[in-house]
Amino acid sequence: MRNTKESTPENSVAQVRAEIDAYMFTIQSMLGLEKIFAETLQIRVRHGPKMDTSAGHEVTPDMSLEVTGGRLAGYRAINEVKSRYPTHEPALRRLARQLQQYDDIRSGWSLPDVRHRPGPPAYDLILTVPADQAADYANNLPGYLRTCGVVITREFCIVGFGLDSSDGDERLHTKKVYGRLSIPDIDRVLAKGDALDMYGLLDELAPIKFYDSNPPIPYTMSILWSRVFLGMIHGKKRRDVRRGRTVKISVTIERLHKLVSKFAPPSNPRCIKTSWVTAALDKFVAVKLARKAKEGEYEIWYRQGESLTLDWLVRLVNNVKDEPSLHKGSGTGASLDPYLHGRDS
Amino acid sequence: MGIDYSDILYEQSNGLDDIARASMNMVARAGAKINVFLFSGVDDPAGELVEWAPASRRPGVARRGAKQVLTIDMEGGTPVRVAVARDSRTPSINYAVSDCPSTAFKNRFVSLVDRHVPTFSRIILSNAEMIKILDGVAAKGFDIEVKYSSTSEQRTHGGLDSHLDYISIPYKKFHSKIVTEKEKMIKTIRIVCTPLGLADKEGASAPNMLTMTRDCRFSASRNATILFDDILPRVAEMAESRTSQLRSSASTASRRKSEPLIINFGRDIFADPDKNKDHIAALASIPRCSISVYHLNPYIHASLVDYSDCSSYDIWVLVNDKLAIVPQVSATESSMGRLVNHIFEKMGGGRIEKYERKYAGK
Repeated sequence: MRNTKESTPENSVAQVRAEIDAYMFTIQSMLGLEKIFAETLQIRVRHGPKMDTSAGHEVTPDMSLEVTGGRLAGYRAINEVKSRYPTHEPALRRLARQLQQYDDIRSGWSLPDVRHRPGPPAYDLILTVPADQAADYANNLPGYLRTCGVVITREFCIVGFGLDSSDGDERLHTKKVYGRLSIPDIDRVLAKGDALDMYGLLDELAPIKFYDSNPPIPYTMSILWSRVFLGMIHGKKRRDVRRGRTVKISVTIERLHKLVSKFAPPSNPRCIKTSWVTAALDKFVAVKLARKAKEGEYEIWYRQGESLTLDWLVRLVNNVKDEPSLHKGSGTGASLDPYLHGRDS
Repeated sequence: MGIDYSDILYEQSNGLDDIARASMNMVARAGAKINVFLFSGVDDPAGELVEWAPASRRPGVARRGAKQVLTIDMEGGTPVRVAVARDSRTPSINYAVSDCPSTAFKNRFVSLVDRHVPTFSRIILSNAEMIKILDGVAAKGFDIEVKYSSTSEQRTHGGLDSHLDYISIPYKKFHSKIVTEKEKMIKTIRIVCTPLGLADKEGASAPNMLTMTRDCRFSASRNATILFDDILPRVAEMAESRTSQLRSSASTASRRKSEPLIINFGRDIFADPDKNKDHIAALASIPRCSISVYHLNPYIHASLVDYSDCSSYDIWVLVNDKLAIVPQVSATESSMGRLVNHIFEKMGGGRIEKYERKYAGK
């Protein structure tokens, strides 16, 4: 039976928004976990650190935490964030293999090992998963790891992470559902469950729009359209945009990449790949909001977007035309034709 | 020969103090009605209006000292003359004063200012600010009688409903019945202010008959003393303080970590996540703006672009009573002012606050 729901533009927008949600979830969960540690300990956090296994393989866990001072100086942990519990064997196998590699990290920490213990470096391994998936991970993953012979040699725990808005204020809640950490103070906090007020994290959360994983393309497009391109429009061109005209902006991938990198986590400022920017620019070309001038250089045809920009971009990308806008028949309707016929500034 | 008060107001006055004196005399002695409009914007409003207005609507400009007089042609009728000046204590706020009919003042001058977005911004007072002004007048020893009011209230499914009431009740009763009990927000109020205990006494100064709107338009007849001596300086002070908060936040837009501006509504207007769509619709209805919604339920995370001057913001709603505006890449105080005004108009007033972070870490 044909699934008509999947083909509707609303559903496409909903799908993209769900992907963006999952993307933002990872950013929020990493920040949340970081804060739980930071409330008790002096820590250094790196997002997407490059590390090496004993076999010399480079791995990039989502986050590393290192205690920099106090009685627990030298404590380290690796955190990996996952979304849905894999239901297919190959995906489960990949996860097991990934955890096995993270269990075997030999180098790549930012601070020297001050604990001076013999043997491989000591650290804990944390797997952060959505709260509604936490039970699946806790009930199934340890068994699966045993089945496929993966032995995690260090303290390993699974932490559920989610949103709680039961009392009206949005809170990021975190609770350990499996295993333990080697520092009892934090282990107790996670076992009991902790809730962080999202509003209290706003100034740290708001600037981070990317982390070291490929974002949905319409999301990157909307960040470029609603943020980055605006900063490249000055003087007369601003007036033209105000008057509803289309203006040309010449951009290079290199420059855009530099500007977009402002939205990376401060502990991993180089995590944004030029390929993400290129993919978004190519999509602007495909929907006729830009043209490729030469290799690495594009010309953007910028104008006022529709009242709901992300929805508009998703529809363009999906080649869905003439959807009614939520408001304002302002002359910036769904059809792009009026803007694409010689209206240059 | 009688005194030509118009000449004193438009020709002889030199600055705001002179304009206020001339206006008060004009109202008290010549029986005139005076209109005042406060708006924020550039140092040289007349110059700006002349530069940008189309030739057919370009006002004439005369300057005298710290005052500017704009003359707007009325196609054969009596031209609208408006004296514009600033108080050095509230340097971002323009006082525009005219004795022309209220309708002409609104249609010709106020609408001219409106067309000059983003150079000029209206100032929308919150309900709390309106109440503070009225309470302040009462505290100065005036009996206040409310003659007419236009109020609005939050609809169950978002947006605002407006009501007009021709009433004649003491301000205290208006406050308790309409503002406190029914939680209505004042849009326009017409009041008569009489010094306490002097209402029926012979020889007492005439009552101040005032109209004030939440978008900072005022008019006075019979006596304009309380308007110029008390109300306008206090409104300008509130507006200056707000403008300075907006400026401070807007100036951080290009930083990696910009300074959020918080609107505290003082009530749980975001308690029902099912209404988040209505809130987004209200935001999306700002002229020349577009919005990208990243998260809608239960919290709101959106980005907003103001194409008037290419300003951009993140909008976050994470608690039931507050909305956070986080400037991004580029923002101006004028654009933030427009955004705040729009939110006040569509969602009801609130208090502007600085964001206070909670998690410092070690």
